[in-house]
Amino acid sequence: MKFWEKLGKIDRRIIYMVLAVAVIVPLILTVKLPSKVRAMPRTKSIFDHIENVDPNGERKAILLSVDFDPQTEPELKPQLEAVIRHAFARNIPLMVMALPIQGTDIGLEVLTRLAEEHNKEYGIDYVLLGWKPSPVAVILGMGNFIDQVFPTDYFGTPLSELPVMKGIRNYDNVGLVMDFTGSSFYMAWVVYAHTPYDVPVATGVTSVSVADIYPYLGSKQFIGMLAGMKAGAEYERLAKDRYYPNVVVKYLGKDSYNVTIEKQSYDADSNDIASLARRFDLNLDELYNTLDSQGKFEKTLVLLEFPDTTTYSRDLIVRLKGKRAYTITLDGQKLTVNKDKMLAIANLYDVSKLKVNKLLKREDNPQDPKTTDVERSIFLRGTQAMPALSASLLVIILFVILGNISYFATRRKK
Amino acid sequence: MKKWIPTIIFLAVAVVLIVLAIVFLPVSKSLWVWIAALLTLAIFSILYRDNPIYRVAEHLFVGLALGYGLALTWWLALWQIALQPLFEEGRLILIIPIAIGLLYFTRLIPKVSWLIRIPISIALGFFSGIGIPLIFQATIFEHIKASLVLPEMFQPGNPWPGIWAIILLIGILTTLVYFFFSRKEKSVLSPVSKVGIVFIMLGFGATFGLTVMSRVSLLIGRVQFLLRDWLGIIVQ
Repeated sequence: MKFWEKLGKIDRRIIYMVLAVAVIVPLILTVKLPSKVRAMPRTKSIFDHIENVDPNGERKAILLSVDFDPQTEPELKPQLEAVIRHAFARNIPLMVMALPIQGTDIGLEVLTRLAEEHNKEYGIDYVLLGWKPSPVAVILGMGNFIDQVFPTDYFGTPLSELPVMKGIRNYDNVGLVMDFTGSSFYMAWVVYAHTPYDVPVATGVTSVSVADIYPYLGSKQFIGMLAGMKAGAEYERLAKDRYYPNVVVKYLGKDSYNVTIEKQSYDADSNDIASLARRFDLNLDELYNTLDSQGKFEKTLVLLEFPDTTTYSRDLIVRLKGKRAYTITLDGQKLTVNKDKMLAIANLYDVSKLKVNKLLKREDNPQDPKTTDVERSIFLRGTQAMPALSASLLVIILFVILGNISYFATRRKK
Repeated sequence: MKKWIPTIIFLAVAVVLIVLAIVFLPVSKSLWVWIAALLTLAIFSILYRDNPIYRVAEHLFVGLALGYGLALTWWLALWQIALQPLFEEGRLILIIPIAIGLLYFTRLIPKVSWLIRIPISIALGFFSGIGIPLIFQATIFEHIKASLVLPEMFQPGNPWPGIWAIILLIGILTTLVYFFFSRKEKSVLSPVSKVGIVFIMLGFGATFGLTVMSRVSLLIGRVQFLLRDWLGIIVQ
């Protein structure tokens, strides 16, 4: 009995310490969950809606409202990034705004970074509308004319001068309004946008708010909901499976490494050049290219297969860019791309960026042959946090159970 | 002097760890990342006990947040929407809303403090007129509609939508009974309100669990920042 009594009086700092270990260890060791994050219906419905946001080729924009501040970034930013990536991958015109004033800076930072990653141009592919006071007046006003509420964008350029706004006047030309909020701004979008104008609305919220939003899901006022960090991981998974192939980089030595871009179905952990060659029915000898006349790069191999295509390019050109070994990049212009050229370049940009990061870290230990799964580091920030989230929640559940046992055991004794 | 000892020990340990990190890890070279990281650690120090370092970080946060909000509001709202068009473009019509807004400050002058009623009544009238019908529609009528149990919910082979709708309806009715019709003494509705308590507790449990998940997510966000952006232990 003494044990349970002692357990009930355990110092809270010990609990904090255990929780910290449960968070830090999976992040450092890059622990993988035994199975993939599975998207819940409320997440998938948003993904499906964006997939079909422009039926019959009708040009419709997506309006994202960044209604959160840095305090809730860890939960909401992965959601925001995943949705923006999806919109960019589908070439959907994107409008970003904020109801609270702090949201503009977050929106600007995320948009700038992801636009560069996807080779998107400001004013042509996306626009930052910025912030205006009085959320109710803003939301209602945009139902009439967007450019009356926002005559200029965040940088002071008249909206009429931006190609991305061509044909987009009000909610009739908006396929989805999505609100990311750590407070109750979602209510304003339901009440003042969906109810009077019938524009489809979805929301991305912190886990705290989830229970409050279920009634609006039940009544179908929201077409879907992204709930907390986990939903960010779910959406990342959906977008990745549909638009981004797996990328695996195997570092073989100081100046040589293999890059493989492959379909989701392939098991990245068993990455092996010969088996890949067999899998794609390729002659192994064909695949090895000596790329550098000075012989710096040996046995550099690239296999490629894009989603939704059964073709691959055998004659990829890999070239040196700059003098340092880690700054090589793949030349997207030389690729055989059947469907979406922009998507291909975006993926290759990811690859080159990753190699920079990897080799910067590996320079000190060039003999480390460890295979790195790139998908964890490029755009799956929510997914990256899932093992830590799972471990810490298990620890909390354990403490709750032990605490209850201790409480009842002590009470029984009394 | 004694009360400073834990703080001094904490600072000494922190300095040693930071020096070790600089020597052995690919730490960030950005000054801003360092400031953010050290302030994060300062805030976390409250988990040990209240201390001056935590209080400095806390006051800094409150002051910065207020100053940042004020600066943004001045620049993006007052200047860009009101003062710049008035003084630089000569849009004199803006004098009216600015004057009405300034009436909020009459609260500070007792003799004319009644004037504050003017902007309040305008705001109240505007938001009530626009809000009440839409809020009724969005939060009451739509939800009543969504809680109806309809025959088409019971499809052959998939009765679950109908079953869930019935459970939802029972939850709504019993919860309403608990809040509006339950009394201290036992009545006919007491058993019904007890069922309502079960649904309420389920709701509280779900909210508590989600709140824990939310807070842990925030912790993970900060730890990711420390390990990735600051110390460079985990890959970008």
